[in-house]
Amino acid sequence: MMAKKATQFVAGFTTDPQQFLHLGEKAREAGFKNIDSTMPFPVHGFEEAYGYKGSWIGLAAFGALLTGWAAGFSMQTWMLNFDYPINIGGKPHVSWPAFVPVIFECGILFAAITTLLSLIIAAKLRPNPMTDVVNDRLTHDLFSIVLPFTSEEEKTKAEAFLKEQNVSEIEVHDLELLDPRYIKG
Amino acid sequence: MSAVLQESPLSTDIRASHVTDDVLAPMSARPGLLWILAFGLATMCFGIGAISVTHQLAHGIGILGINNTVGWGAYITDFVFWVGIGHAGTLISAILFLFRQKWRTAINRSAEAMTIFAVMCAGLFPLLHIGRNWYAYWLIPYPNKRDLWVNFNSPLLWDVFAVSTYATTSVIFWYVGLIPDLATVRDRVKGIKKIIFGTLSLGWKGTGQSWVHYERAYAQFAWLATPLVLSVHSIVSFDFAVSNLPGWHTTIFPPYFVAGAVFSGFGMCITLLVVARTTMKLEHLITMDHLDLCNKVILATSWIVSLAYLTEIFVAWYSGSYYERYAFLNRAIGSYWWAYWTMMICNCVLPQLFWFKSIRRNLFIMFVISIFVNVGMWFERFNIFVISLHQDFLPANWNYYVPSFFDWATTLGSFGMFFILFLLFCRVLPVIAVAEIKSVLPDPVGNFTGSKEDVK
Repeated sequence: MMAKKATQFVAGFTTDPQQFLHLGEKAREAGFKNIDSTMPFPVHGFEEAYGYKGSWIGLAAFGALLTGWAAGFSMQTWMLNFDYPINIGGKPHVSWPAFVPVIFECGILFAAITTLLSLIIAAKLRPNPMTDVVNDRLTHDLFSIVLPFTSEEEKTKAEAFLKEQNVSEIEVHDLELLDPRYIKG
Repeated sequence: MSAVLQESPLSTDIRASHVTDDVLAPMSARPGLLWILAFGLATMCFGIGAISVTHQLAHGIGILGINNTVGWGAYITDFVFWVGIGHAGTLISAILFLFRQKWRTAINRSAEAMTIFAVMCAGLFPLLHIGRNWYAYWLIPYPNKRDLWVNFNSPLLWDVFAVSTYATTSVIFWYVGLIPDLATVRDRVKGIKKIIFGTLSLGWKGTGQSWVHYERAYAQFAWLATPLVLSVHSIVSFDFAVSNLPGWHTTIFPPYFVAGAVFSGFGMCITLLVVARTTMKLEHLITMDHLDLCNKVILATSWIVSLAYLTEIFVAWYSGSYYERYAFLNRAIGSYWWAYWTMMICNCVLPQLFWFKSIRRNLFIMFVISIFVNVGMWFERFNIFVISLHQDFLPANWNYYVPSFFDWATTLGSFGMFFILFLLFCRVLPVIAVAEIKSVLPDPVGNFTGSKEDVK
């Protein structure tokens, strides 16, 4: 029997980046699970405070860079040496030093496009003309800590925790507002 | 030096919430008189260029000033000039990011916009310059009925790959940087605007995990764009350096072109920032300290290009080659002496005024110098291309090149296009990276008490 999946969360709002970091540390100490947050701008040290995992985008881009280099070299070699060998100024068909600029640019192009696609996948970005938000100020000056709950008991615990931390504004919302993952099919 | 650069030039009085209001205000306000006048002027210039280009497409490139001896004139000068302008934007957004120069956040968005618009202008010129424009797609290696591939040994083809990769990467980098700000706009507007910005912001909610990925991706773009920007102008310089012509066949070209590009790009940056901050009331975010730092970069790169000019002359003498010596002597005292000395005065002499702090912080003087820098850099390319070509190895072929009316009209048109795009950008998108500048404010919520512990 799987544990019930959270569909709602308690949100605590603050405009102070320092209090925001502090909240994350305290909530993790208090044993809350699946803590999330929203930020209008990244605060130095939020990854550690909230225990976020690192991103795999760098690895994907590095792979794409190497693939691009291999593709650039293979493309030029195949075209000028195998498919239609042509004598250009008496140079060898695979005059590889002359291929280097195009090889390099192919790598960068592959890596840049891969980084963009990886970001779209990793951060779950989807064009949505009717984007619904928890609060208009979350992209302006308001930080929020997100504590998902599955039962009334957990909800009370989360609210009590936030009150204890002197969070002035506490609200309850559906998780689907934050993350397309939670939208009910 | 680095400590001086790293200090945030922003006042402790600025709150995170003010930044959003101040930066987004021009987007909903009616355009001012100055903006309308500038837009009208830019449209007029663009119109003249459009007529000239239409005429050229109908009649061929014979209407330009180029002749058998001087095959590359104003168009190629314009191409290299515009690619160069773009480089400062990438330098600010990528290289200064890697060096943790936090002051860049005030100017990186507009500088990146400048890059994209400049590369768009640049890309037009080679396409217009090829005789049969409708065959421009032959530059791309694609399977075709003639079974032929492009010549990958040619620097001109490297250029196709370099400039198109540069344009693509710059647009992606700029757009990714815009996503959180587009979401900020989305949450403040209503009606049709909300739908447009909602679509463009890709449903950005600013959740913690998405910021982790976002910051990783942003740093990744900076790592990719840094070698890219150095490679692009190096490859542009290969168009010349790889040939055997005296005046072009020089190993110093790649670094010299890159430094020149940064020099002219920062010149254009100052031109645009002085206007943008004044007309949009952003003096507290794009401060005099920011402009001061840009002017220091102009001064430093001015010395790099000056050194390159002198090195070229020295090497021409030291090579002992008769033709090399003649090529450089011909630049200084030949029939194009006026172009050479315009370049020398604009690029080497005038920027020396930036040694004085009072001049680095004088809006009017820096504006004038920035325009001279761009004139100088245009003539630098003109000198390299035209003077090296106009007297070739057979004196019977010697010729004098004068740009025709159409050369100038198309050049003017490219400036018109650049300014139309930039002025529109100022109206429809946040000109300052809102989310980024908030993260470098010394005191975003007003907790500052004046004690040392508060300043991290």
